[in-house]
Amino acid sequence: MILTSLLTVVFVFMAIYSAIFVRRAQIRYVLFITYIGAIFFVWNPDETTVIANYFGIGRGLDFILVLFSVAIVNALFFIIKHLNSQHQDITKLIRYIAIRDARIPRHPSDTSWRHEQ
Amino acid sequence: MDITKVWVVIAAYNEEQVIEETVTNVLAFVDNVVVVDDCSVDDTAQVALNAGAHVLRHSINLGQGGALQTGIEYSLKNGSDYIVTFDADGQHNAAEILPMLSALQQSKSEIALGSRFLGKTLNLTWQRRWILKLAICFTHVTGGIKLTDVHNGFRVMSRNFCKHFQFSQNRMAHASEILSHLSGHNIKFIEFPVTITYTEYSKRKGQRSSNSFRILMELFMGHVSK
Repeated sequence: MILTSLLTVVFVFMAIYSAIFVRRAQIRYVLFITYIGAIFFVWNPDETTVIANYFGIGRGLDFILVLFSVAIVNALFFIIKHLNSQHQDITKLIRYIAIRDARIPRHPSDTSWRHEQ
Repeated sequence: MDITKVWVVIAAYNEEQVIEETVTNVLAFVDNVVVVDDCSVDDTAQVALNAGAHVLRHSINLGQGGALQTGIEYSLKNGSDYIVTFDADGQHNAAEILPMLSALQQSKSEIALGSRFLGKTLNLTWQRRWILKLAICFTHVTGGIKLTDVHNGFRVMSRNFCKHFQFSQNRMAHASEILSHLSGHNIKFIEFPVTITYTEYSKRKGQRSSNSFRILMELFMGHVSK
């Protein structure tokens, strides 16, 4: 009962969070419905077995674990993509600053000045 | 050929021991050298500037591919017609820049790639030779491009090529990225024999053989995260 209540609170929070903060409408709907579905299955765990049997998986818990694994892999790739995008932005910024602050030699093609030092 | 329109780009990270000699050697043949100091903790930038190079400094270490791209963009802004990429650690021979450039112009290609196996390699270890040969086979199989050398940093590129190609791989995988671009866009290129001299310094500073796996992972992650 404690775990059921805890998961319900977490999933309610995530459903609201997804509905408010996820920008792309399609992803927002999918996430919202998924979390509402998750709350249903938390309170009715036997129903997962019915769905699992439909997909050829024996137990509901196994079915949930498979889905969970897929979700984790997906999330990881989303995070990698997001990090890569941020990394590219940082690269552009660093490059812009480097070119803006370029240091030019006193006499690019005349090296005799070096001996003056 | 207007030599003032030729720019040599050198990516440097903690190279204060050798950068002066490298820049001086290059300036004996061309007028414009840009050293991109990739957030070195030593005095690379000042030494390069004193040696007569334009100096750009990254405030965060991006990697060799990122540094080369910064130098290329700077060179393009300064009106370069040809851009040469050259290693900082003294492996390359600056006297080969102009012959390579002439060969590129005569061939009417977009890019000339240096090849140590068509030219000369001094002090190459057998382990490194095998890794390089495997990389050549790998590039042939995966990229469909047949070359005699695939990870040589000595290249001459036309302005047109540089305007249409950008290194998006910041680290070592940039060398494979450029070959993939050549293959994917049917770009005309030549290979040119160059001399690579492995010194104790360059061996110490250069890539370890195990880095080849890292390059493969960088390429893979670069593709999946696009």
